[in-house]
Amino acid sequence: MSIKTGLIGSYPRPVNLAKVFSRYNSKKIDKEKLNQEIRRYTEKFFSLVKEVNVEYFTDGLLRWDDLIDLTFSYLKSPTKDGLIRFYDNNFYYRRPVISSKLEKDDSQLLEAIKEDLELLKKLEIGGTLKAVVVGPITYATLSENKYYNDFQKLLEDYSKILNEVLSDLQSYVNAVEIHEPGFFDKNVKRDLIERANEYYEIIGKGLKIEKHLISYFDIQVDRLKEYFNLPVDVYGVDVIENRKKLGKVYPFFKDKNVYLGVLDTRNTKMESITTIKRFISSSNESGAKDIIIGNASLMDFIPEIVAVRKIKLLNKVVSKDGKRA
Amino acid sequence: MEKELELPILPTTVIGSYPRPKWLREAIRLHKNGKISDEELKEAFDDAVIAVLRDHQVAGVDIPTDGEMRRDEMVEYFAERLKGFKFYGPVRVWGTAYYRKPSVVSKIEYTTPLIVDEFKFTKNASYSPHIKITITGPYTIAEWSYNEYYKTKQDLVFDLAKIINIELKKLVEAGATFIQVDEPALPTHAEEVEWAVDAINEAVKGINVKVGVHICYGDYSRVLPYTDKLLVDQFALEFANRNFEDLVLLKRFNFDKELGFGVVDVHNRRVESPEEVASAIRKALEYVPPDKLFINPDCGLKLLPRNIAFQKLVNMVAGTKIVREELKRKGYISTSLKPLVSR
Repeated sequence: MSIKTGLIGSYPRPVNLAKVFSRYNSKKIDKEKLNQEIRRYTEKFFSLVKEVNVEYFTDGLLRWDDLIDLTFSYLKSPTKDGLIRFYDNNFYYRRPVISSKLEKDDSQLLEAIKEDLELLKKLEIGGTLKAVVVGPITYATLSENKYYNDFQKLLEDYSKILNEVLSDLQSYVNAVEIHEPGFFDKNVKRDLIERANEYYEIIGKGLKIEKHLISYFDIQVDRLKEYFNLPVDVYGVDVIENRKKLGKVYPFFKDKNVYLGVLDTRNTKMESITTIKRFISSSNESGAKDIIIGNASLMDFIPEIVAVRKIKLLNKVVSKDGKRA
Repeated sequence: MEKELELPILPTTVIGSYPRPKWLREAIRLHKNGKISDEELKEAFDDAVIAVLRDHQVAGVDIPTDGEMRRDEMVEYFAERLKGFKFYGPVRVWGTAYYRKPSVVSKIEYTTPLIVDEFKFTKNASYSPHIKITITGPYTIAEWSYNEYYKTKQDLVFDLAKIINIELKKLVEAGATFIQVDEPALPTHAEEVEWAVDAINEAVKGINVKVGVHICYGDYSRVLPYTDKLLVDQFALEFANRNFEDLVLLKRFNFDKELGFGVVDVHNRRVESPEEVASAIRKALEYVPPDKLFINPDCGLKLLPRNIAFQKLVNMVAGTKIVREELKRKGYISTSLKPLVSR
């Protein structure tokens, strides 16, 4: 068993970068200037990753307004609708409206990843950059479907596109995060959960990169069996939000690689190292193979200054365990 | 007194916030940099309130607010004025919109009136005898804060409810006739709505003027089952953003209180025409009787450019007048700010 550190999803978009986006939206600056600023802030985030020696990380998703906005980088047919609350957070996303057959956008996400890799090379950062995509259940349930009469067909088409997107990306990255908070959403019907395996088979077909399945927020324990049967390489669990349910979750860890969301990204209160170590120890005792620890959910929900403090805590946990040189 | 509270049928109002004039934003920036004094900033706020009231007056709004000119944000404004909160930094709500989400680090305490002065100023400056004063509700303050101190969120919410009740009583003493408790977070957690409603009732206990609650961008089917239990006179809800699809919920849950009907979308810069507004109001009248229908935008207008926010109000009032004329022919002339619920 090894213990590694990771960061999933988004890093809080700094206010000054948001001001740049506002200037771009008001046509006061051009796309090139916007990209230049995004690169500058992504570089700052990567410097933090380097400082803390995080082993698995994303680019912080600073380019995108929210997780769902990211999907417009690899899908070109949906349009953006009004603001909708992102699950139970005071955070809103623009709902995609599907009015025609889903089609893949060939360039945007790939270009973003190439830019990230250039930055990592420049900063001489090792570790594993993960691409981020949204899982089929989450995408389908957070969108407004005006095209597909058969909901399963929407999920299949989306899964096929994800497979193509990830096939394009695997020459550049070794791992991908598939964000699937919708898997445990109470509003998602059981039959969709039971068919999830089919969609993940489509997504993973012929792929050699590591697939990290990321879920967060409240878990439905009666869906854990289906969750841990999905054909992926790492299974993510929001430990913070599900402390009282962990007794039912741990048995599923046996012989699995797990990502433990141990940093609460919905509260400013700092976690205790002892508590995090207890989560690691229980996972270990439950037979988990490799363990990655990191943030429990998107970091958009806390101030940047708190996010930095929490990220630095990861290093302390692993260093105190003597697992890092 | 009854006559004083009379309003034309389909009274028009706003939810609360309005875009700050550019010069006020500049004054705030200068104040932050120490270039102008507290007194000068207060003068700028006062002048801005007068400017907003003038916009509302020209647009023809029956029940204005002060545009919440003094409030950067609906939770942080109150957290700044209560003991027990701490600010770490801004947090994004969507896109490029942020607020300074506070953290509760000790027991919440009321040390000084929160919005009584701003109410008094608005009352004196207003062109209309009817003004609405808004206050963020206990559940939303708690839900949109980080809780580092209280054992449960419920404990925090009920402490806040007691504090808000003190403030509401002071507002009534100062002459408030229409208070709106903003609770956009109320539908967030279905399992918490029941006790959250109790907390709001605690906050409005003994407040015998018109009390509304504003909720937006959430699942109303979680809240509407508590319509009777929630001791407010009016629900001001956002509808335009969702193409009025949620109106059917009013029927499903036998909604029989007053409705503050969100008729223009505050997240879209396209200005609705008066005819569109009139058409939406006619739709709402299929669910709510005319004397229980108030007309307002979906939510606060502050994120729109000022000229667009103003034009939206102008067209909202123009659209309302079209339907008002139709109702007059049916004998509906006026309604009232009288409270409908005993608290």
